[in-house]
Amino acid sequence: MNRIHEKKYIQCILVSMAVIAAYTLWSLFKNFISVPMIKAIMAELIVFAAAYLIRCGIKKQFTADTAIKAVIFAGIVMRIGYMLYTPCNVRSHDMWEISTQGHGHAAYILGLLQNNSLPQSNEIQFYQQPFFYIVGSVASKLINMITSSDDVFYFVDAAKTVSCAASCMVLIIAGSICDTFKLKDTEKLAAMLIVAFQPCFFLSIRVTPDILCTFFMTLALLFTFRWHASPDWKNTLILAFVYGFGVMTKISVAVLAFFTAVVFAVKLVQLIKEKKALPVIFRLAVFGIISLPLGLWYNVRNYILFSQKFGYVLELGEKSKLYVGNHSLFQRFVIPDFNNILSSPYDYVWDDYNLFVYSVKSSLFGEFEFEVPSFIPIILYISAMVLSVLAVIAAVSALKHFTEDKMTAALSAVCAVFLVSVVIFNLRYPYGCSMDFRYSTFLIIPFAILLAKQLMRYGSKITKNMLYMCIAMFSCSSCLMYILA
Amino acid sequence: MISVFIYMGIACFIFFFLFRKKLNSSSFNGYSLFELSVFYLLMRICPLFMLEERSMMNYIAFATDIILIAAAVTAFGKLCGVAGRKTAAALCLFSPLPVISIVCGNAVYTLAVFIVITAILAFICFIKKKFRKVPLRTFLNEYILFTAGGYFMLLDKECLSLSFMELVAADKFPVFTVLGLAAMVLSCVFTAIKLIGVRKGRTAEESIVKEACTESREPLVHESFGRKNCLHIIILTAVYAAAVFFRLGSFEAPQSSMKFSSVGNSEIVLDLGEYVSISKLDIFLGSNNNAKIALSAYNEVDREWILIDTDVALKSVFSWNEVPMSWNLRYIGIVFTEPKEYFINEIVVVDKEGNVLTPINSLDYPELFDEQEKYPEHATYYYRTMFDEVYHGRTAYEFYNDLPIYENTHPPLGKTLISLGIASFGMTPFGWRFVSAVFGTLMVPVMYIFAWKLSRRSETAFLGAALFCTEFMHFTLSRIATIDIIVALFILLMFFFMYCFTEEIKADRKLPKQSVWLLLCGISTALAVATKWTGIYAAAGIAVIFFVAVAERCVNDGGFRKNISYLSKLFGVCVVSFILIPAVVYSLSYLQFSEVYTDKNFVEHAISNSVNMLNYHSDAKAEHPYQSEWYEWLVDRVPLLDAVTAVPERGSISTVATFGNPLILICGLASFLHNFWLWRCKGCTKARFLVIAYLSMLMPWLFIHRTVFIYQYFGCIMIIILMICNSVMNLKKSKMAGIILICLSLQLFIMFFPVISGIEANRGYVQQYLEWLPTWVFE
Repeated sequence: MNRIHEKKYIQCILVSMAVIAAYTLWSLFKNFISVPMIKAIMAELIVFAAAYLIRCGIKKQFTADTAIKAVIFAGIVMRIGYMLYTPCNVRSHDMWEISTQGHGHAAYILGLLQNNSLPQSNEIQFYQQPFFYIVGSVASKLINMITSSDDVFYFVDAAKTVSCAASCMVLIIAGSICDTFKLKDTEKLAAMLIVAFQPCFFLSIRVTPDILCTFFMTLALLFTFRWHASPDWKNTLILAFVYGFGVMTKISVAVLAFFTAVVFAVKLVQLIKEKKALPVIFRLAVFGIISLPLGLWYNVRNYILFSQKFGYVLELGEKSKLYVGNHSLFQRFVIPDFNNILSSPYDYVWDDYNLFVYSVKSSLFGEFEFEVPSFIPIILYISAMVLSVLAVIAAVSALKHFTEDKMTAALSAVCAVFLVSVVIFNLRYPYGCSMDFRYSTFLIIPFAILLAKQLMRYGSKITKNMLYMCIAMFSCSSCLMYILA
Repeated sequence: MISVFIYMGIACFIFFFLFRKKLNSSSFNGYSLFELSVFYLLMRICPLFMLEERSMMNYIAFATDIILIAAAVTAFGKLCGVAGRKTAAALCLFSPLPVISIVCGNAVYTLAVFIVITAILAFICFIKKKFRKVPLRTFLNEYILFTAGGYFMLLDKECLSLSFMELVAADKFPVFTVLGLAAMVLSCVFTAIKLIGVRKGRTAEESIVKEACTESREPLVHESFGRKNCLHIIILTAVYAAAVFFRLGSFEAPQSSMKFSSVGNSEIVLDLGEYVSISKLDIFLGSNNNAKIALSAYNEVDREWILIDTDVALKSVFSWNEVPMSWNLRYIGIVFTEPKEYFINEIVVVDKEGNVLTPINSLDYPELFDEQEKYPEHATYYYRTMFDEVYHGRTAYEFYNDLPIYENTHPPLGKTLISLGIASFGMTPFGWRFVSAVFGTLMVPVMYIFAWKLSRRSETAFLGAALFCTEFMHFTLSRIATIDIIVALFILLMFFFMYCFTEEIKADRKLPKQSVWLLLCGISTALAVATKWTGIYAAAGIAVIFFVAVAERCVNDGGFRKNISYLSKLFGVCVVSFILIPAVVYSLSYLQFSEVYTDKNFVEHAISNSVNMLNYHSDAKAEHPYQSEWYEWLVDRVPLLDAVTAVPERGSISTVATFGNPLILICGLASFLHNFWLWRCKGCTKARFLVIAYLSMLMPWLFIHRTVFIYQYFGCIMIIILMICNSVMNLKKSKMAGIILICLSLQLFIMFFPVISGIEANRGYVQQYLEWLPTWVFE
């Protein structure tokens, strides 16, 4: 088992290197590599993966494992391709001016690169935790050193390699989580297809800390389950650093800490009963000693310097065009507007107000519109809608089968905790942008696993067929969408 | 067109749902000719007549369809035998494409129908030849998927009136078109996969799970109607009455009035004694609406009247009409600009601070300033007429005072009854709403007894009555002086007595016993029709139920010939009950007309007014913000706001909205499907009764193109509650389900109480917690 884990670590490192290498190569030859050329290469590589699978099928060497590898390969191709053909100022969020005079993500990175200092205020985006920006500026410095670029645009642009690497690593870690949950081959394939081709993992490749935050959440989930199985020093330390760096990336990683805390407590009670609790208590103390200062030092700094409260988020006010608090709670959280569901697959950023619909739409297209033949986004949208509903059914089913499979029920509980936190966040900050799925990307992984595991095991034949059909439609349309976009 | 598509979608869904269930039954051997005729009526005639206008092309498509059906059925018969032919005919009838080709009158669609039928026939030939052992029903799911695909594809195209090329343009998002296409492609893929599977030697898996069709769960204990039920009735009725009469309406309203007209007494000049800044005038208009006035202020320097507004309309009768007027003045001139006679009961002058000012010459107009204390701080529903009360309440007042009759678009009985309240409590909000409240309250025991009769169980009866008590629309209609609640009680009685008759006939009791129920049913029908013509819809429903019950009895008792003497006697009773009594009651209801307009006797008035009513309702079309279509009623989409008054200084509003309890309406849809299943698959006669009753109250609205509102659905809601009772009764954990339903319904009733009762509620609460849908705007 340890070998498999080591293999995964190597895969993660390799994929990160591949991302940086791809970006560096593109930077060096960007005058010769056009966007259509990148898209053509993406398409060719995906066709190649499909052709390889067909060949395996013909030669009767087709196994689920091969298919999963091909899916991961295709997922990574899509992510790297998207990173290369999308400059940092396209489909961006809160970038503001690309200069140190701004207060957006770009200025944050440029401040670190050019002044070697953290922000000197907490205005606009400067209240954000610094880890992503630190790692981003390091990656940027490294790449721009190789390419000898002195254009500030590319200083900022290169930081998206961190997001891309995180997005690719999430895919690999998702495979590990599937193994932890002992998913059968077809179940794992279904789950990996969803994670590999879920567009929010492509769209997250921008200069924001969101996908790095998702990466740490995914790691935290994996190692919480591993810690429960084996609460040794290795798992405790990894978990401590994951939470430390995670919270240093974004405070919202702490949402998962509620779940980890419950797991700690359950395990501790169990060990107390067995009178073996003392070493674990010591390890947990070390966990706290590492994770708390690592995660919260920036908050303490900002509190001392700017009296910034813990958990502070930028307020837009009721007069903002994005304010949705004038709609009833039912319209926002319970009953979707069917006219809105059927009118367009894209979010109307200024008008949409239903959390579920906004989340599904933004998970597929962000807050943007694309000029592609309309049938592609519609297929993607319909299949995503069906998958979302099936995922909720699967989560409920997992809770229903609590006695048979406690681990899967726990995964369902993770989703519930996260969803509650999303609702609370939206109640506190009732704005269109608060509903964007980029803050909830983490949910894809547990929901994909629940969907694959519960519906394949307990679903009727019709449900299974619907699931296969939707996953196939979802994957194909996602690829087409982001190759043609 | 949307209406036809939705109707077709629902009809096809129900058919295929029941068809799949029926296929499981070993006794199923195709559909009878009678059933096929009903299907034809439902799927060809109804959609055609749902169209507002029909062209020659529609009729040509209709005629072509008959030929195609005949050809297809014959071909199917040759391929699949007699049973197969009957089933194929049903499947043909429930295919959306031919229906769409008829309603669109589109030759291309007709050609497509021909091609599809040919393709299906070719496919069947292929299956018969190559896969002899594979039953055709193996492909039922694929067929349904294909059919649904076609339906969705055309839904987008026809409802948006766009071509396919326009639909697939980048700026359009034809969700249904893509969904339809995907479904059609997938159905072909699944069919191919199944065929490949069969060829490879795997047995064609039956997609339909076989399960034995058992008889409907009848109640285990048949209890007698004893003390317990009486106690239930008393408690529920008392609680409901308390809720209905709670702040029903003010016992006071300005009564004394002065008559004005542009000819004669046309002016009012008010002298406030000194110059004051006034903010508004509030004028309580008596009988006769739409008074037109001109307002002016006197300029003492120029010694001239300055016109402020020449065209102010006082629209609502027996209501405070606000006239905003931001002026600093001493003299106010009010001139009536139309020759019609208007009655003004009271005028209130309000200054900028909100104080009521009394003109120093108020004694010149004693009737206009003698009841100033009746001027409310906020003119909520409590102090004035709301929605159609301006017609029905006012006309009831005219009936009572032998005045010319204003509202004559409905038969007079309902307004005659409302006038009883006015006679007892005066022309006040309480007075004109009293009879509605009484009728609404009386419906509770009737519903209880009906539900008990249906189930013979006090729990189910309690469930029915409790749901009815917490039904929003029942509550709102009980608190407004309109005729809808009155006709609803009579309709409920009609169905109840008809149900009692079917019970008697089922138990094979003697004719006199049956006749009692028929006579009572006839009287209820007469009263209902004399109140509102919607009673006729219910009459159609009871007619169907009656004929089915009688036919069933005769078939079980040796045929029609053997029962000829029974049938002739029954015919006599029916003539008296359903023709003679209604004709007499309907004519008598026009007595008031003959007293006011002596040129005709009451029978002549009944006939001439009925003709006028028919003409009026045929083209009563007007844009209204709260109008809604029949399919919107099913999901409670557009509430009707009877009264809205803002109370800005307290941040609250007073709203009276007419709409259904969402729990009851949504559960009702599920229970409708369940009852259909109970009827068609389990042979439950109660379910049959309820389904026919529901459809009879709903179906007529499919063919009506005038402006309609959600309250027209109230007749259906009464039946929905009974259907829920029947469904719950057939559940395994019926008691628990009933308790949960009552608790949820009560919770919703309490939650929504402010917007259905009109009591003042915090605006934030209404906006944040009660406006569930974008169309639910309660302010």
